[in-house]
Amino acid sequence: MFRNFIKVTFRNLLKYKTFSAVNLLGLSVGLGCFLLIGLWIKDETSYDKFHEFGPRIYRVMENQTHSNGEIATQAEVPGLLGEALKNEVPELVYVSSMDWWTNTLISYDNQSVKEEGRYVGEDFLKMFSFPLLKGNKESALSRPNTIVISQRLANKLFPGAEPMGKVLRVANFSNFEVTGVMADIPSNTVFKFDFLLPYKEFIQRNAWAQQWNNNGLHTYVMLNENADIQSVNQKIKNIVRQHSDQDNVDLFLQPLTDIYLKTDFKNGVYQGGGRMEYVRLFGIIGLLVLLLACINFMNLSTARATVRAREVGVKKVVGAGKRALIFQFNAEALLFCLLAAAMAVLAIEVVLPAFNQFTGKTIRLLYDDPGAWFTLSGIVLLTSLLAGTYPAFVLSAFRPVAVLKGQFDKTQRGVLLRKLLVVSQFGVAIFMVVSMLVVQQQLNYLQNKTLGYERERLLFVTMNHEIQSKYATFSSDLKNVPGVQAVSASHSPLTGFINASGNFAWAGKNPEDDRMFVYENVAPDYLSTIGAPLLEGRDFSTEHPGDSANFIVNELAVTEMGLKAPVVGQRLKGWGKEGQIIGVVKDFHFTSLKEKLQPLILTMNSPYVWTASVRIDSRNTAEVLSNIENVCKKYSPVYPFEYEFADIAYDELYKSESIISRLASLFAILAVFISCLGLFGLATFTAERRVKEIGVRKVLGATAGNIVGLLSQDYLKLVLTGILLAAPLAWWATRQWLSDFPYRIELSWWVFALAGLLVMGISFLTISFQSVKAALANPVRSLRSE
Amino acid sequence: MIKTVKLAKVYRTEEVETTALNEVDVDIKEGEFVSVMGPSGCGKSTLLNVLGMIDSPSSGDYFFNGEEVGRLSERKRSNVRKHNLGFVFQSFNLIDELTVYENIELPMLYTKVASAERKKRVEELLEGMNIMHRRNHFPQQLSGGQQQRVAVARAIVNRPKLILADEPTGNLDSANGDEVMKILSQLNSEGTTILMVTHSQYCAEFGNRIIRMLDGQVVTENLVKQYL
Repeated sequence: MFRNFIKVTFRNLLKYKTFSAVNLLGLSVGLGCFLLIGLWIKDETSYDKFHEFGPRIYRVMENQTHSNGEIATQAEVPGLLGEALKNEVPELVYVSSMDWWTNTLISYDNQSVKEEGRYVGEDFLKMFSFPLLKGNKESALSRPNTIVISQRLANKLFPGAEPMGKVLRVANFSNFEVTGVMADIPSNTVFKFDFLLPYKEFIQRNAWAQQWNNNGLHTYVMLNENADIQSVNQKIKNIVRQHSDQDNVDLFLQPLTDIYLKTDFKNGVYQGGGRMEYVRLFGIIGLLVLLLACINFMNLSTARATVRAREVGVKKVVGAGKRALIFQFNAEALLFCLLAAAMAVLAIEVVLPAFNQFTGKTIRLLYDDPGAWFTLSGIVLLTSLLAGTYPAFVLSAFRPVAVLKGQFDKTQRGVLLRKLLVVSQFGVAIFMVVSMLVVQQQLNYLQNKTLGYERERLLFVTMNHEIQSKYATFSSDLKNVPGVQAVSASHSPLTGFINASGNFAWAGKNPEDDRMFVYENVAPDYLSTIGAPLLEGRDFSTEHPGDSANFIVNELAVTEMGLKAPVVGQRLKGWGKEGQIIGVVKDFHFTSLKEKLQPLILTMNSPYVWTASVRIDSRNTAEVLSNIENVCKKYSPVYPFEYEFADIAYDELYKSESIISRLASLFAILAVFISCLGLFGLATFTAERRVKEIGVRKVLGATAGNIVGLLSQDYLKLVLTGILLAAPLAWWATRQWLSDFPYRIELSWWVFALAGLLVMGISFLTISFQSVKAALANPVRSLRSE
Repeated sequence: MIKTVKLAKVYRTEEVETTALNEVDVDIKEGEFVSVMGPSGCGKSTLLNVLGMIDSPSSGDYFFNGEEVGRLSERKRSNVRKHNLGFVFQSFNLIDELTVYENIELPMLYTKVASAERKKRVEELLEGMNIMHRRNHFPQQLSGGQQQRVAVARAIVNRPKLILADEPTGNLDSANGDEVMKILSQLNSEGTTILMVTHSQYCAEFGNRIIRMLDGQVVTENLVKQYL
């Protein structure tokens, strides 16, 4: 019997080509989107799940409660915390601290490469599943001056040779012996490194890290099998308070597998947000797109029920029961879904390289994973049930007497449901289009907002310790490069000032007040170089040697401190110095606009600047860059020249939003496409069904315009209803999304009008294709055929 | 084989009530060939549908082989139907998407006849109906006469006790009509009971009894001349 179903399905598929194409295309696009989003979600939620002890590993987090009641949550903790935890909390099997170090130079013989590495504790390799291919994980990092490198780095530095025992020079200042080679770390982990160094070295070299009052290191712990997380949290909560004079710090543990997805803490606890929000959002989008495709299938199958009616009638007469027919139609839907799934997999295979490049992932189709096949089969089965069950019940319910006489159920029930489904389809489509436009608008707003400094032609040049130690002569050499207008430097790049402190003091400060100020070390002429205007006073200058003890503050800092004019000349103390405020700079944004503007204090401390800011003019950029590189090479011949334009660095801040926005646009377009595909199918069917009516109307004098109007208006009314119903929902949802941004666009009515017009226009064109064809057909032919 | 007592069928819409069958009593013995005649709208097709169990009566009793079947559920009626009845329609009602072979095979799929047996029976019928050369054709590729022969083959493939034929020659020319009537007569002579609705006196006389209907009622019942 199943063979019979398959035959009938394929013959129908070939006989009714438009219907089949619309259904197959819709279902394959829907399934394709769903599967692609599914793969993306699978990847997003797989971060750090591969560690054998993963469920027992946590990151130590710190909540700092400020005097204004705000709680700031951070992963940066004191450098001595790891050791203290290990000694004081018996439930912890392993503890490893880790620094934040990024790229540095690794040299062997005459070869130097820049790689990312970390200082980690001895336990690191024992708790995390980063297996060693060579060396012993128990002892690889137990001696000073040892290094563990990745297989990739080993191949790069010692192609075909034995890496173990070789001595590498790190950052051109110290030698390390290779004591282990680890397998390359997978992409789905929050850790990115190609070499590991012993943490003890870090502590010895950095005096600040030996103080409990300084934060900046990450600490990971692994609990024993029987440990109760609540009780461990209770035990570690006050450890920083016990070791320091900080009385506003509480510690807690964050599961390792939450680190990637759950980053958005408010008032000390995770309250949704972070990448998890996007995982949920795209999960919903995937489901909606698939649902749209299923609605197409349902609508077209029930609309075409009359075509199948005789088959149903005859089969019932010759003995088919209702159950057998329901089974048959569901089997048909399943076959359609299988075909669509095959097309979807093929399409995914084609788009995956571009998708990976775009999202920065390494997703692949898991042909060798039985679990993936099982999941795919489940999705196909569920889709076929979702799409096929309703039509199966409608079709199998035909009474043979009625259908064999050519009389059909004239009730409006099926029609009403079909209308409802079209309304929901376009509701979803308009919702997604509005969201797409709003996300796009917000992103444009963020990327183009005036930041308070001049982004164009501003260059950030990374300085290594060789350049940094000779900053004065380096900057003066740079200023002599033709095309360079100004040179200064800061500790962090202008797009991410990250250091903050609550230890500043000024006249009239309440001793209880521990509000945080972002502070940044800069070099002379910093504000004039970046183009941030001063409201009062002057910039740091080499002409004023006393400036190294002075400060420049932003407007917000003045407000926060409650300073009265004139601000310049007032005393300020903090970060180990005491001096006067020499300038007030107009507020400018020094982090992403996803964060509120912070009060800022600038100090001039040249030895601690690592990023040169270089203002260039509009002459030949390539030549200017080449000359800047020559200057860098003069001071540091080994290190590669690294630079970034400020506007590009700024756009990088919104990389994930940009990806999300483009993905949302893609899926919104596909949602409209699928909905219109369904509309096209329905319009085709209506035009076929009303061919006699159209003929009669034309004979009676109707113009082609009348006919197009007649055939289009019913569907356009449905589309309009969908738009009107979904618009308030879209308004609410986009407003919610925007409310997370401190700087945001105002929702305007025209976005909704534009989305509505766009969808209405596309729908009209879709319907017109069929209705114009029907309107222009020769009425004689249709009447004769009757 | 068939006995009805005051069988009635009333169609109701919101405003109109139409009595298609009005207390009809018929009695058909096994092996009979009964023709039902009457003007359009007299209820003969409704009678055929009710007796064929593809429609249910509004009131009255319908005994098939001694069992009351008028009030059976759709599922049970379907079960009785597929094992005992065969249908032939005026408009053939073949499934366009199935070949000749598959159309004839179809009823056996629902009665779970084994594959080898299905093949044997279909081939016998294709041979008997002289359409073996058309076995892989689709209905649209056949002449009306050939289509009706396929429909008859489909009706008898499950070896039903009763064949219900609704104007089986209505869409055929006289030569093809004669051909179909001869097949039905042949089947009757082999023991199959036949109930046929027709407008044609000529066709009706292939049977041995004629029931005449008017306004939903049986008005006369006569034996055909040669059986008098």
